[in-house]
Amino acid sequence: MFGGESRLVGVLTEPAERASNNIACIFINAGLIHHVGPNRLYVQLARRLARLGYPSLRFDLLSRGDSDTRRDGLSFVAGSLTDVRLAMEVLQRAVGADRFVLMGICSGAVNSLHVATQDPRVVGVIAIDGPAYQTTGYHVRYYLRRIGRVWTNTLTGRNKIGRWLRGAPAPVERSSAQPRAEDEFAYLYGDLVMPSRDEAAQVLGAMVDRGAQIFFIFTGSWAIFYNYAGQFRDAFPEIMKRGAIRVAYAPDADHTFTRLHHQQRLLDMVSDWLTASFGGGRGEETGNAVERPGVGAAR
Amino acid sequence: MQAFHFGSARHRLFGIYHPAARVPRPPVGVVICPPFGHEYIRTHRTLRTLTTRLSASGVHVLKFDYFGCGDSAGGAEEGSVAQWQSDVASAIDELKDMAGLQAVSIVGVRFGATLGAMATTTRKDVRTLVMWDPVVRGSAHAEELRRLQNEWLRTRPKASGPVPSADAELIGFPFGASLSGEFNAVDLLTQTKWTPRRIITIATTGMDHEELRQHLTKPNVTSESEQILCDCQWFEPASVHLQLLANEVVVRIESLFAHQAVS
Repeated sequence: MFGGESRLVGVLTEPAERASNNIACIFINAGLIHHVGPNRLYVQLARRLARLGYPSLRFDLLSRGDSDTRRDGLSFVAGSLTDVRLAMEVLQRAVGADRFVLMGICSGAVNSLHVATQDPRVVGVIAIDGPAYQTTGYHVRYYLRRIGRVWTNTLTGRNKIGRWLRGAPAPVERSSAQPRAEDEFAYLYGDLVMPSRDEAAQVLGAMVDRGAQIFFIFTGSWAIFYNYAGQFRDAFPEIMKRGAIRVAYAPDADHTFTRLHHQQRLLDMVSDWLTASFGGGRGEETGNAVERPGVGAAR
Repeated sequence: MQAFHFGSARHRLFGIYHPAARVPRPPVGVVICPPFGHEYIRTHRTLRTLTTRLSASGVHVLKFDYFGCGDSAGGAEEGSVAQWQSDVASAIDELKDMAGLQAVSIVGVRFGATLGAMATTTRKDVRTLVMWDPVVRGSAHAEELRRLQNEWLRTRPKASGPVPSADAELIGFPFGASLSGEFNAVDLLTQTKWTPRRIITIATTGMDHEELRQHLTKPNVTSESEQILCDCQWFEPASVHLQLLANEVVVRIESLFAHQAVS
Protein backbone atom coordinates (compact mmCIF):
# COMPACT_ATOMS: atom_id res chain seq x y z
CA MET A 1 0.00 0.00 0.00
CA PHE A 2 1.56 3.33 -0.92
CA GLY A 3 0.95 6.11 1.64
CA GLY A 4 -1.16 9.28 1.60
CA GLU A 5 -4.86 9.85 1.97
CA SER A 6 -6.13 8.51 -1.34
CA ARG A 7 -5.06 5.08 -2.50
CA LEU A 8 -4.77 3.46 -5.91
CA VAL A 9 -5.38 -0.25 -6.46
CA GLY A 10 -3.79 -2.28 -9.20
CA VAL A 11 -2.26 -5.57 -10.27
CA LEU A 12 1.29 -5.88 -11.55
CA THR A 13 1.92 -8.71 -14.04
CA GLU A 14 5.54 -9.77 -14.38
CA PRO A 15 6.65 -12.13 -17.17
CA ALA A 16 8.73 -15.22 -16.48
CA GLU A 17 11.20 -13.92 -19.09
CA ARG A 18 11.58 -10.22 -19.88
CA ALA A 19 11.75 -8.86 -23.40
CA SER A 20 15.11 -7.22 -24.12
CA ASN A 21 13.90 -3.69 -23.56
CA ASN A 22 12.78 -1.70 -20.55
CA ILE A 23 9.22 -1.19 -21.72
CA ALA A 24 6.21 -1.85 -19.54
CA CYS A 25 2.53 -1.50 -20.40
CA ILE A 26 -0.16 0.32 -18.48
CA PHE A 27 -3.89 -0.29 -18.88
CA ILE A 28 -6.16 2.69 -18.24
CA ASN A 29 -9.79 2.38 -17.16
CA ALA A 30 -12.44 2.14 -19.84
CA GLY A 31 -15.08 4.53 -18.55
CA LEU A 32 -16.34 3.38 -15.17
CA ILE A 33 -15.24 -0.23 -15.62
CA HIS A 34 -12.61 -1.34 -13.14
CA HIS A 35 -9.10 -2.47 -13.94
CA VAL A 36 -10.00 -5.96 -15.21
CA GLY A 37 -11.42 -4.20 -18.26
CA PRO A 38 -14.61 -4.84 -20.22
CA ASN A 39 -15.19 -8.61 -20.47
CA ARG A 40 -11.95 -9.08 -18.45
CA LEU A 41 -10.01 -7.88 -21.52
CA TYR A 42 -7.24 -6.12 -19.58
CA VAL A 43 -6.52 -9.31 -17.61
CA GLN A 44 -6.35 -11.32 -20.84
CA LEU A 45 -4.13 -8.72 -22.49
CA ALA A 46 -1.82 -8.44 -19.48
CA ARG A 47 -1.26 -12.20 -19.42
CA ARG A 48 -0.77 -12.34 -23.19
CA LEU A 49 1.77 -9.50 -23.06
CA ALA A 50 3.60 -11.28 -20.25
CA ARG A 51 4.10 -14.22 -22.60
CA LEU A 52 5.79 -11.75 -24.96
CA GLY A 53 8.06 -10.58 -22.16
CA TYR A 54 6.25 -7.36 -21.23
CA PRO A 55 5.41 -6.47 -17.64
CA SER A 56 2.23 -4.49 -17.15
CA LEU A 57 0.16 -2.71 -14.57
CA ARG A 58 -3.60 -2.59 -14.69
CA PHE A 59 -4.93 -0.19 -12.11
CA ASP A 60 -7.85 2.01 -11.19
CA LEU A 61 -7.63 5.78 -11.48
CA LEU A 62 -8.88 7.57 -8.40
CA SER A 63 -12.69 7.47 -8.23
CA ARG A 64 -12.70 4.40 -10.44
CA GLY A 65 -12.95 0.71 -9.58
CA ASP A 66 -11.37 -0.23 -6.27
CA SER A 67 -9.30 2.95 -5.85
CA ASP A 68 -10.30 5.65 -3.43
CA THR A 69 -12.33 8.71 -4.27
CA ARG A 70 -10.31 11.61 -5.66
CA ARG A 71 -10.02 14.39 -3.08
CA ASP A 72 -7.29 16.58 -4.55
CA GLY A 73 -9.67 18.72 -6.58
CA LEU A 74 -8.02 17.86 -9.88
CA SER A 75 -10.20 17.52 -12.96
CA PHE A 76 -10.67 14.09 -14.54
CA VAL A 77 -8.04 14.84 -17.18
CA ALA A 78 -5.43 16.39 -14.87
CA GLY A 79 -6.07 13.74 -12.25
CA SER A 80 -5.67 10.92 -14.75
CA LEU A 81 -2.29 12.33 -15.81
CA THR A 82 -1.15 12.37 -12.18
CA ASP A 83 -2.39 8.85 -11.54
CA VAL A 84 -0.79 7.39 -14.67
CA ARG A 85 2.53 9.04 -13.84
CA LEU A 86 2.34 7.39 -10.46
CA ALA A 87 1.74 4.06 -12.20
CA MET A 88 4.89 4.67 -14.22
CA GLU A 89 6.86 5.26 -11.03
CA VAL A 90 5.54 2.02 -9.59
CA LEU A 91 6.67 0.11 -12.67
CA GLN A 92 10.05 1.83 -12.63
CA ARG A 93 10.63 0.75 -9.04
CA ALA A 94 9.17 -2.72 -9.43
CA VAL A 95 10.60 -3.87 -12.78
CA GLY A 96 13.05 -1.17 -13.82
CA ALA A 97 10.91 0.06 -16.72
CA ASP A 98 11.83 3.46 -18.12
CA ARG A 99 9.59 3.50 -21.17
CA PHE A 100 5.90 2.81 -21.36
CA VAL A 101 3.11 1.77 -23.68
CA LEU A 102 -0.31 2.99 -22.60
CA MET A 103 -3.47 1.19 -23.57
CA GLY A 104 -7.11 1.94 -23.11
CA ILE A 105 -10.63 1.65 -24.48
CA CYS A 106 -12.87 4.72 -24.91
CA SER A 107 -11.92 7.20 -22.16
CA GLY A 108 -8.92 4.96 -21.56
CA ALA A 109 -7.85 5.65 -25.13
CA VAL A 110 -8.33 9.39 -24.70
CA ASN A 111 -6.38 9.38 -21.45
CA SER A 112 -3.60 7.30 -23.00
CA LEU A 113 -3.16 9.79 -25.82
CA HIS A 114 -3.35 12.76 -23.48
CA VAL A 115 -0.67 11.37 -21.15
CA ALA A 116 1.49 10.47 -24.15
CA THR A 117 1.44 14.09 -25.31
CA GLN A 118 2.58 15.22 -21.86
CA ASP A 119 5.22 12.63 -21.02
CA PRO A 120 8.09 11.59 -23.31
CA ARG A 121 8.53 8.32 -21.42
CA VAL A 122 5.45 7.09 -23.29
CA VAL A 123 6.80 5.44 -26.43
CA GLY A 124 3.60 3.77 -27.55
CA VAL A 125 -0.16 4.07 -27.33
CA ILE A 126 -2.90 1.60 -28.17
CA ALA A 127 -6.09 3.63 -28.44
CA ILE A 128 -9.25 1.55 -28.86
CA ASP A 129 -12.33 3.54 -29.88
CA GLY A 130 -10.63 6.81 -29.07
CA PRO A 131 -11.00 10.15 -30.79
CA ALA A 132 -11.49 10.18 -34.55
CA TYR A 133 -12.28 12.82 -37.14
CA GLN A 134 -15.08 12.76 -39.65
CA THR A 135 -14.07 13.16 -43.28
CA THR A 136 -15.92 13.63 -46.55
CA GLY A 137 -15.81 9.86 -46.95
CA TYR A 138 -17.41 9.47 -43.52
CA HIS A 139 -20.31 11.77 -44.42
CA VAL A 140 -20.86 10.11 -47.79
CA ARG A 141 -21.05 6.69 -46.16
CA TYR A 142 -23.26 7.98 -43.38
CA TYR A 143 -25.87 9.36 -45.77
CA LEU A 144 -25.68 6.42 -48.19
CA ARG A 145 -26.38 4.07 -45.31
CA ARG A 146 -29.23 6.26 -44.14
CA ILE A 147 -30.75 6.18 -47.62
CA GLY A 148 -30.38 2.42 -47.64
CA ARG A 149 -32.06 2.19 -44.24
CA VAL A 150 -34.91 4.45 -45.40
CA TRP A 151 -35.63 2.11 -48.33
CA THR A 152 -35.41 -0.97 -46.10
CA ASN A 153 -37.60 0.57 -43.41
CA THR A 154 -40.16 1.66 -46.00
CA LEU A 155 -40.39 -1.81 -47.48
CA THR A 156 -40.63 -3.43 -44.04
CA GLY A 157 -43.02 -0.86 -42.53
CA ARG A 158 -40.63 0.50 -39.93
CA ASN A 159 -40.88 4.19 -40.90
CA LYS A 160 -43.77 6.64 -41.38
CA ILE A 161 -44.19 6.00 -45.08
CA GLY A 162 -43.90 2.27 -44.65
CA ARG A 163 -46.45 2.25 -41.84
CA TRP A 164 -48.81 4.47 -43.89
CA LEU A 165 -48.55 2.07 -46.79
CA ARG A 166 -49.38 -0.81 -44.45
CA GLY A 167 -51.97 1.06 -42.37
CA ALA A 168 -49.99 0.40 -39.15
CA PRO A 169 -49.99 2.67 -36.00
CA ALA A 170 -47.10 5.09 -35.35
CA PRO A 171 -44.58 4.54 -32.51
CA VAL A 172 -42.93 7.34 -30.52
CA GLU A 173 -40.99 9.78 -32.72
CA ARG A 174 -37.23 10.00 -32.36
CA SER A 175 -34.86 12.57 -33.80
CA SER A 176 -33.29 11.52 -37.09
CA ALA A 177 -30.64 14.27 -37.10
CA GLN A 178 -27.06 13.10 -37.43
CA PRO A 179 -25.50 13.47 -33.99
CA ARG A 180 -22.50 15.78 -33.91
CA ALA A 181 -19.25 14.09 -33.04
CA GLU A 182 -18.24 17.08 -30.87
CA ASP A 183 -21.41 16.74 -28.77
CA GLU A 184 -20.85 13.02 -28.28
CA PHE A 185 -17.20 13.65 -27.37
CA ALA A 186 -18.25 16.23 -24.77
CA TYR A 187 -20.86 13.83 -23.37
CA LEU A 188 -18.30 11.04 -23.08
CA TYR A 189 -15.19 12.88 -21.99
CA GLY A 190 -16.36 15.84 -19.90
CA ASP A 191 -13.67 18.43 -19.38
CA LEU A 192 -11.33 17.09 -22.07
CA VAL A 193 -11.75 19.39 -25.06
CA MET A 194 -11.71 17.62 -28.40
CA PRO A 195 -8.86 19.22 -30.33
CA SER A 196 -9.54 20.43 -33.84
CA ARG A 197 -8.20 18.29 -36.65
CA ASP A 198 -5.27 20.67 -37.16
CA GLU A 199 -4.45 20.62 -33.46
CA ALA A 200 -4.66 16.83 -33.44
CA ALA A 201 -2.36 16.66 -36.45
CA GLN A 202 0.19 18.83 -34.64
CA VAL A 203 0.02 16.75 -31.50
CA LEU A 204 0.27 13.43 -33.33
CA GLY A 205 3.08 14.83 -35.44
CA ALA A 206 5.02 15.83 -32.33
CA MET A 207 4.60 12.36 -30.89
CA VAL A 208 5.77 10.74 -34.12
CA ASP A 209 8.72 13.20 -34.24
CA ARG A 210 9.98 11.90 -30.90
CA GLY A 211 9.69 8.30 -32.03
CA ALA A 212 6.39 7.21 -30.52
CA GLN A 213 4.37 4.43 -32.12
CA ILE A 214 0.59 4.58 -32.06
CA PHE A 215 -2.02 1.95 -32.80
CA PHE A 216 -5.59 3.10 -33.32
CA ILE A 217 -8.33 0.47 -33.32
CA PHE A 218 -11.90 1.39 -34.19
CA THR A 219 -14.93 -0.87 -33.87
CA GLY A 220 -18.35 -0.89 -35.46
CA SER A 221 -19.83 0.57 -32.27
CA TRP A 222 -17.86 3.74 -32.91
CA ALA A 223 -19.80 4.55 -36.08
CA ILE A 224 -20.70 8.01 -34.82
CA PHE A 225 -17.02 8.90 -35.15
CA TYR A 226 -15.60 6.32 -37.57
CA ASN A 227 -17.27 4.32 -40.34
CA TYR A 228 -14.73 3.11 -42.93
CA ALA A 229 -11.30 1.55 -43.03
CA GLY A 230 -9.38 4.43 -44.60
CA GLN A 231 -10.89 7.23 -42.57
CA PHE A 232 -7.86 7.92 -40.38
CA ARG A 233 -5.55 7.98 -43.39
CA ASP A 234 -7.89 10.38 -45.15
CA ALA A 235 -8.01 12.64 -42.06
CA PHE A 236 -4.24 12.69 -41.52
CA PRO A 237 -2.57 11.74 -44.82
CA GLU A 238 0.81 13.34 -44.12
CA ILE A 239 1.23 11.77 -40.69
CA MET A 240 0.20 8.35 -41.93
CA LYS A 241 2.94 8.45 -44.58
CA ARG A 242 5.53 8.47 -41.82
CA GLY A 243 4.72 4.90 -40.85
CA ALA A 244 4.55 5.32 -37.08
CA ILE A 245 0.80 5.02 -36.84
CA ARG A 246 -1.12 1.83 -37.53
CA VAL A 247 -4.91 1.80 -37.79
CA ALA A 248 -7.20 -1.21 -37.62
CA TYR A 249 -10.92 -1.14 -38.31
CA ALA A 250 -13.07 -3.95 -36.89
CA PRO A 251 -16.61 -3.10 -38.02
CA ASP A 252 -18.03 -6.41 -36.77
CA ALA A 253 -16.73 -5.94 -33.23
CA ASP A 254 -18.58 -3.96 -30.59
CA HIS A 255 -17.08 -1.40 -28.23
CA THR A 256 -16.15 -3.97 -25.59
CA PHE A 257 -15.36 -6.95 -27.89
CA THR A 258 -18.15 -9.03 -26.39
CA ARG A 259 -17.91 -11.97 -28.79
CA LEU A 260 -15.09 -14.33 -27.84
CA HIS A 261 -13.66 -14.49 -31.36
CA HIS A 262 -13.43 -10.68 -31.36
CA GLN A 263 -11.58 -10.81 -28.05
CA GLN A 264 -9.11 -13.29 -29.55
CA ARG A 265 -8.63 -11.06 -32.57
CA LEU A 266 -7.91 -8.10 -30.31
CA LEU A 267 -5.32 -10.07 -28.34
CA ASP A 268 -3.63 -11.06 -31.60
CA MET A 269 -3.69 -7.53 -33.03
CA VAL A 270 -2.18 -6.01 -29.90
CA SER A 271 0.47 -8.74 -29.65
CA ASP A 272 1.44 -8.35 -33.30
CA TRP A 273 1.70 -4.59 -33.08
CA LEU A 274 3.73 -4.63 -29.86
CA THR A 275 6.27 -7.13 -31.13
CA ALA A 276 6.49 -5.41 -34.54
CA SER A 277 7.00 -2.03 -32.86
CA PHE A 278 9.24 -2.92 -29.95
CA GLY A 279 10.29 -6.57 -30.27
CA GLY A 280 9.49 -9.33 -27.84
CA GLY A 281 8.90 -13.05 -27.41
CA ARG A 282 7.11 -15.41 -29.73
CA GLY A 283 4.02 -15.54 -27.52
CA GLU A 284 4.58 -19.13 -26.44
CA GLU A 285 4.39 -20.24 -22.86
CA THR A 286 7.82 -19.51 -21.44
CA GLY A 287 6.76 -20.01 -17.85
CA ASN A 288 4.06 -18.60 -15.63
CA ALA A 289 3.76 -14.86 -15.23
CA VAL A 290 3.59 -13.62 -11.66
CA GLU A 291 0.81 -11.27 -10.66
CA ARG A 292 1.09 -9.01 -7.64
CA PRO A 293 -1.91 -7.03 -6.42
CA GLY A 294 -1.17 -3.85 -4.53
CA VAL A 295 -2.49 -0.62 -3.13
CA GLY A 296 -0.53 2.63 -3.48
CA ALA A 297 -0.69 6.26 -2.42
CA ALA A 298 -1.91 8.89 -4.79
CA ARG A 299 -0.43 12.34 -4.27
CA MET B 1 -7.42 -1.56 2.47
CA GLN B 2 -5.30 -4.49 1.28
CA ALA B 3 -5.25 -6.07 -2.16
CA PHE B 4 -3.77 -9.56 -2.06
CA HIS B 5 -3.86 -13.14 -3.23
CA PHE B 6 -5.11 -16.00 -1.08
CA GLY B 7 -6.17 -19.58 -1.54
CA SER B 8 -4.13 -22.54 -2.75
CA ALA B 9 -1.10 -22.18 -5.02
CA ARG B 10 -3.00 -23.79 -7.89
CA HIS B 11 -6.07 -21.59 -7.46
CA ARG B 12 -4.85 -18.16 -6.42
CA LEU B 13 -7.75 -15.85 -5.63
CA PHE B 14 -7.70 -12.06 -5.69
CA GLY B 15 -9.23 -10.29 -2.72
CA ILE B 16 -9.53 -6.84 -1.28
CA TYR B 17 -9.86 -6.58 2.46
CA HIS B 18 -11.41 -3.49 4.01
CA PRO B 19 -10.97 -3.56 7.78
CA ALA B 20 -13.67 -2.13 10.01
CA ALA B 21 -13.14 1.63 10.37
CA ARG B 22 -14.25 1.32 13.96
CA VAL B 23 -14.35 -1.95 15.76
CA PRO B 24 -17.66 -2.91 17.33
CA ARG B 25 -17.80 -5.57 20.00
CA PRO B 26 -18.33 -8.29 18.95
CA PRO B 27 -16.66 -7.74 15.57
CA VAL B 28 -18.67 -8.29 12.41
CA GLY B 29 -17.35 -9.58 9.08
CA VAL B 30 -18.94 -9.81 5.62
CA VAL B 31 -17.78 -11.75 2.56
CA ILE B 32 -19.10 -10.26 -0.70
CA CYS B 33 -19.95 -12.88 -3.35
CA PRO B 34 -20.21 -11.23 -6.79
CA PRO B 35 -22.28 -12.47 -9.75
CA PHE B 36 -21.15 -14.46 -12.78
CA GLY B 37 -20.13 -13.15 -16.18
CA HIS B 38 -21.20 -9.74 -17.42
CA GLU B 39 -23.16 -9.14 -14.20
CA TYR B 40 -19.83 -9.22 -12.36
CA ILE B 41 -18.63 -6.30 -14.46
CA ARG B 42 -21.96 -4.45 -14.14
CA THR B 43 -22.13 -4.71 -10.36
CA HIS B 44 -18.51 -4.00 -9.45
CA ARG B 45 -18.97 -0.30 -8.77
CA THR B 46 -22.03 -0.88 -6.62
CA LEU B 47 -20.31 -3.61 -4.63
CA ARG B 48 -17.30 -1.35 -4.12
CA THR B 49 -19.66 1.29 -2.71
CA LEU B 50 -21.27 -1.30 -0.45
CA THR B 51 -17.84 -2.46 0.74
CA THR B 52 -16.76 1.08 1.59
CA ARG B 53 -19.96 1.86 3.46
CA LEU B 54 -19.90 -1.39 5.43
CA SER B 55 -16.28 -0.80 6.40
CA ALA B 56 -17.10 2.74 7.53
CA SER B 57 -19.98 1.31 9.59
CA GLY B 58 -17.63 -0.96 11.50
CA VAL B 59 -17.74 -4.14 9.44
CA HIS B 60 -14.70 -6.09 8.23
CA VAL B 61 -15.26 -6.81 4.54
CA LEU B 62 -13.61 -9.17 2.08
CA LYS B 63 -14.51 -8.66 -1.58
CA PHE B 64 -13.00 -11.30 -3.85
CA ASP B 65 -12.99 -12.81 -7.34
CA TYR B 66 -13.71 -16.48 -8.09
CA PHE B 67 -11.12 -18.59 -9.86
CA GLY B 68 -11.07 -17.77 -13.56
CA CYS B 69 -12.85 -14.48 -12.91
CA GLY B 70 -11.76 -10.90 -12.32
CA ASP B 71 -8.16 -10.68 -11.13
CA SER B 72 -7.98 -14.23 -9.80
CA ALA B 73 -5.79 -16.81 -11.50
CA GLY B 74 -7.12 -18.98 -14.26
CA GLY B 75 -8.61 -18.44 -17.65
CA ALA B 76 -12.32 -17.74 -17.89
CA GLU B 77 -12.85 -21.18 -19.42
CA GLU B 78 -11.34 -22.83 -16.32
CA GLY B 79 -14.02 -21.68 -13.91
CA SER B 80 -16.55 -24.15 -12.51
CA VAL B 81 -19.42 -24.03 -10.06
CA ALA B 82 -17.72 -26.58 -7.83
CA GLN B 83 -14.52 -24.51 -7.76
CA TRP B 84 -16.44 -21.33 -7.05
CA GLN B 85 -18.19 -22.92 -4.07
CA SER B 86 -14.78 -23.88 -2.78
CA ASP B 87 -13.63 -20.29 -3.38
CA VAL B 88 -16.45 -18.95 -1.21
CA ALA B 89 -15.32 -21.33 1.54
CA SER B 90 -11.74 -20.08 1.15
CA ALA B 91 -12.92 -16.49 1.38
CA ILE B 92 -14.83 -17.21 4.58
CA ASP B 93 -11.75 -18.82 6.15
CA GLU B 94 -9.54 -15.96 4.96
CA LEU B 95 -11.73 -13.24 6.44
CA LYS B 96 -12.02 -15.06 9.74
CA ASP B 97 -8.26 -15.33 9.86
CA MET B 98 -7.52 -11.73 8.83
CA ALA B 99 -10.07 -10.12 11.12
CA GLY B 100 -9.87 -12.57 14.00
CA LEU B 101 -13.51 -13.63 13.70
CA GLN B 102 -15.31 -16.76 14.81
CA ALA B 103 -18.04 -16.33 12.22
CA VAL B 104 -18.87 -14.14 9.23
CA SER B 105 -21.87 -13.13 7.16
CA ILE B 106 -22.30 -13.35 3.40
CA VAL B 107 -23.77 -10.81 1.00
CA GLY B 108 -24.28 -12.35 -2.44
CA VAL B 109 -25.67 -10.86 -5.65
CA ARG B 110 -27.43 -12.94 -8.30
CA PHE B 111 -25.39 -16.14 -8.88
CA GLY B 112 -23.08 -14.98 -6.13
CA ALA B 113 -26.01 -15.24 -3.73
CA THR B 114 -26.62 -18.76 -5.02
CA LEU B 115 -22.99 -19.74 -4.50
CA GLY B 116 -23.07 -18.23 -1.03
CA ALA B 117 -26.15 -20.26 -0.15
CA MET B 118 -24.64 -23.47 -1.55
CA ALA B 119 -21.31 -22.95 0.21
CA THR B 120 -22.92 -22.63 3.64
CA THR B 121 -24.63 -26.05 3.76
CA THR B 122 -21.60 -27.67 5.38
CA ARG B 123 -20.60 -24.77 7.63
CA LYS B 124 -21.68 -23.49 11.01
CA ASP B 125 -19.76 -20.21 10.91
CA VAL B 126 -22.01 -18.11 8.66
CA ARG B 127 -24.32 -16.00 10.79
CA THR B 128 -26.31 -14.18 8.16
CA LEU B 129 -26.86 -14.75 4.47
CA VAL B 130 -28.11 -11.80 2.44
CA MET B 131 -29.23 -12.81 -1.05
CA TRP B 132 -29.81 -9.96 -3.50
CA ASP B 133 -31.91 -11.18 -6.45
CA PRO B 134 -30.58 -14.73 -6.09
CA VAL B 135 -30.56 -17.20 -8.96
CA VAL B 136 -32.83 -20.01 -7.81
CA ARG B 137 -32.30 -22.38 -10.75
CA GLY B 138 -29.05 -22.35 -12.69
CA SER B 139 -30.74 -23.60 -15.86
CA ALA B 140 -33.17 -20.67 -15.78
CA HIS B 141 -30.29 -18.24 -15.27
CA ALA B 142 -28.43 -19.65 -18.26
CA GLU B 143 -31.62 -19.39 -20.35
CA GLU B 144 -32.15 -15.80 -19.26
CA LEU B 145 -28.58 -14.88 -20.18
CA ARG B 146 -28.85 -16.66 -23.51
CA ARG B 147 -32.08 -14.84 -24.35
CA LEU B 148 -30.45 -11.57 -23.33
CA GLN B 149 -27.46 -12.35 -25.51
CA ASN B 150 -29.67 -13.17 -28.49
CA GLU B 151 -31.59 -9.93 -28.08
CA TRP B 152 -28.37 -7.99 -27.81
CA LEU B 153 -26.92 -9.75 -30.89
CA ARG B 154 -29.99 -8.72 -32.89
CA THR B 155 -29.03 -5.07 -32.32
CA ARG B 156 -25.57 -5.64 -33.79
CA PRO B 157 -24.80 -4.77 -37.43
CA LYS B 158 -24.78 -7.78 -39.74
CA ALA B 159 -21.31 -9.29 -40.06
CA SER B 160 -19.63 -9.24 -43.44
CA GLY B 161 -18.61 -12.92 -43.35
CA PRO B 162 -19.27 -16.19 -41.48
CA VAL B 163 -19.66 -15.75 -37.74
CA PRO B 164 -18.80 -18.41 -35.15
CA SER B 165 -21.70 -19.76 -33.14
CA ALA B 166 -22.43 -18.01 -29.85
CA ASP B 167 -23.60 -21.24 -28.19
CA ALA B 168 -20.54 -21.64 -25.98
CA GLU B 169 -20.44 -18.10 -24.65
CA LEU B 170 -22.67 -15.80 -22.63
CA ILE B 171 -22.31 -12.06 -23.09
CA GLY B 172 -18.55 -11.89 -23.26
CA PHE B 173 -17.64 -14.95 -21.19
CA PRO B 174 -17.09 -18.62 -22.07
CA PHE B 175 -19.95 -20.96 -21.21
CA GLY B 176 -19.01 -24.42 -22.42
CA ALA B 177 -20.80 -27.71 -22.01
CA SER B 178 -19.20 -28.53 -18.67
CA LEU B 179 -20.17 -25.24 -17.03
CA SER B 180 -23.60 -25.39 -18.62
CA GLY B 181 -24.10 -28.84 -17.11
CA GLU B 182 -23.12 -27.56 -13.68
CA PHE B 183 -25.55 -24.66 -13.98
CA ASN B 184 -28.33 -27.10 -14.89
CA ALA B 185 -27.66 -28.99 -11.65
CA VAL B 186 -28.08 -25.87 -9.48
CA ASP B 187 -31.49 -25.59 -7.80
CA LEU B 188 -31.86 -23.86 -4.45
CA LEU B 189 -35.33 -25.34 -4.09
CA THR B 190 -33.75 -28.77 -3.63
CA GLN B 191 -31.33 -27.53 -0.98
CA THR B 192 -32.54 -28.81 2.37
CA LYS B 193 -29.73 -27.59 4.61
CA TRP B 194 -29.65 -23.87 5.41
CA THR B 195 -27.30 -23.18 8.28
CA PRO B 196 -27.11 -19.36 8.64
CA ARG B 197 -29.03 -18.09 11.65
CA ARG B 198 -30.71 -15.43 9.54
CA ILE B 199 -31.44 -15.41 5.81
CA ILE B 200 -32.57 -12.24 4.06
CA THR B 201 -33.74 -12.32 0.45
CA ILE B 202 -33.88 -8.99 -1.36
CA ALA B 203 -36.01 -8.67 -4.47
CA THR B 204 -35.62 -5.55 -6.59
CA THR B 205 -38.16 -4.10 -9.01
CA GLY B 206 -39.67 -6.73 -11.27
CA MET B 207 -38.00 -9.67 -9.51
CA ASP B 208 -40.01 -12.36 -7.78
CA HIS B 209 -38.54 -14.83 -5.29
CA GLU B 210 -41.79 -16.19 -3.91
CA GLU B 211 -40.86 -19.83 -4.59
CA LEU B 212 -37.64 -19.42 -2.65
CA ARG B 213 -39.40 -17.57 0.16
CA GLN B 214 -41.85 -20.42 0.55
CA HIS B 215 -39.07 -22.99 0.40
CA LEU B 216 -37.29 -21.14 3.21
CA THR B 217 -40.38 -21.17 5.41
CA LYS B 218 -39.13 -23.97 7.61
CA PRO B 219 -39.14 -24.53 11.37
CA ASN B 220 -35.35 -24.38 11.70
CA VAL B 221 -34.74 -21.39 9.36
CA THR B 222 -35.16 -17.69 10.16
CA SER B 223 -35.92 -16.18 6.81
CA GLU B 224 -37.03 -12.70 5.77
CA SER B 225 -37.98 -11.25 2.41
CA GLU B 226 -37.72 -7.66 1.36
CA GLN B 227 -38.85 -5.80 -1.73
CA ILE B 228 -36.73 -2.79 -2.66
CA LEU B 229 -37.78 -0.30 -5.31
CA CYS B 230 -34.73 -0.33 -7.55
CA ASP B 231 -34.71 -1.24 -11.22
CA CYS B 232 -31.53 -3.24 -11.78
CA GLN B 233 -32.50 -4.04 -15.40
CA TRP B 234 -30.93 -7.49 -15.21
CA PHE B 235 -32.68 -8.55 -18.42
CA GLU B 236 -32.52 -5.33 -20.43
CA PRO B 237 -30.31 -5.64 -23.56
CA ALA B 238 -29.52 -1.92 -23.52
CA SER B 239 -28.10 -2.26 -19.97
CA VAL B 240 -25.84 -5.23 -20.64
CA HIS B 241 -22.70 -3.10 -20.64
CA LEU B 242 -23.82 -0.39 -18.23
CA GLN B 243 -22.61 -0.07 -14.68
CA LEU B 244 -25.37 -0.74 -12.17
CA LEU B 245 -26.06 1.98 -9.64
CA ALA B 246 -28.26 0.51 -6.90
CA ASN B 247 -27.92 2.91 -3.99
CA GLU B 248 -31.27 1.88 -2.53
CA VAL B 249 -30.06 -1.69 -2.12
CA VAL B 250 -26.64 -0.62 -0.84
CA VAL B 251 -28.18 1.59 1.84
CA ARG B 252 -30.54 -1.17 2.93
CA ILE B 253 -27.81 -3.81 3.17
CA GLU B 254 -25.63 -1.38 5.10
CA SER B 255 -28.46 -0.79 7.56
CA LEU B 256 -28.83 -4.54 8.08
CA PHE B 257 -25.31 -4.65 9.50
CA ALA B 258 -25.18 -1.24 11.20
CA HIS B 259 -24.91 -1.19 14.98
CA GLN B 260 -24.71 -4.97 14.87
CA ALA B 261 -28.37 -5.18 13.88
CA VAL B 262 -27.43 -8.50 12.32
CA SER B 263 -25.85 -10.85 14.81
